Amino acid sequence: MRAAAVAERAGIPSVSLVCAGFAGQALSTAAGLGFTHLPVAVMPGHVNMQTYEELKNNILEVTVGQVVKGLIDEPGASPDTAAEPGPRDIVFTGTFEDVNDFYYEREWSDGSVTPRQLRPAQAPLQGILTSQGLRP
Amino acid sequence: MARKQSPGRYQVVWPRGKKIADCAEPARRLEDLSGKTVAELWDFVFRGEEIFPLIESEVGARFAGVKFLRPDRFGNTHGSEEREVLAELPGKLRELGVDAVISGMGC
Repeated sequence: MRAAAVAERAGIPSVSLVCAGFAGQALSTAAGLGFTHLPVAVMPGHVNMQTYEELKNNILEVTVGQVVKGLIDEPGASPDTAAEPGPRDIVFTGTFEDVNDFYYEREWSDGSVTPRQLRPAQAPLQGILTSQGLRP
Repeated sequence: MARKQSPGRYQVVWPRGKKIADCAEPARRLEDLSGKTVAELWDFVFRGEEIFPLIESEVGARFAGVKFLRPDRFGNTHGSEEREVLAELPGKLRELGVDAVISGMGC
């Protein structure tokens, strides 16, 4: 995504090839690079787990169409990030298992999460920010 | 990060931080790929040596005269030379008359 961002800033449209499991991360990375939209073309599954014939079929049947679309179609309107919850808003309440399901379903986690209380978790971060001269 | 509410129950706070930077708009898209020059950027992993030729073949069949510039023209976009490769990229893209970029592999 970093290379695509450089191209876009140079005024050249790009599309990034990503395995399906990384499509969500690509969106987050694009936002971190200063773009709400950087087109991606998804490669189904993971390319390293496929025979050449499977790979060929996936690329030709799924990915190529998204490559073309990403370079030709104007991206839609930017998502309204103002409509997102605020940084400390509570977005879910539940048991240990509920919390794990909530994280997993949103791909915020790929396994077990042990919830921590907010204050102990913040203390080390605030210490780091303070030591670097940054306001927590 | 969870905020504990009562024994056995937890509250989850929104994980994103405060938005502090404005987002840029992507470049204007092309009307057509016919006759255009497309740069292939690669991190030299995850089977790009097989995937890019497949894309070239199919896109080339759909759009007449589309030309592809292979990844070795630009260098590894995700390695020890990434900083230099990306710093030189805008100039190379302009110099080579590139109209569009396909970048991979995010796996």
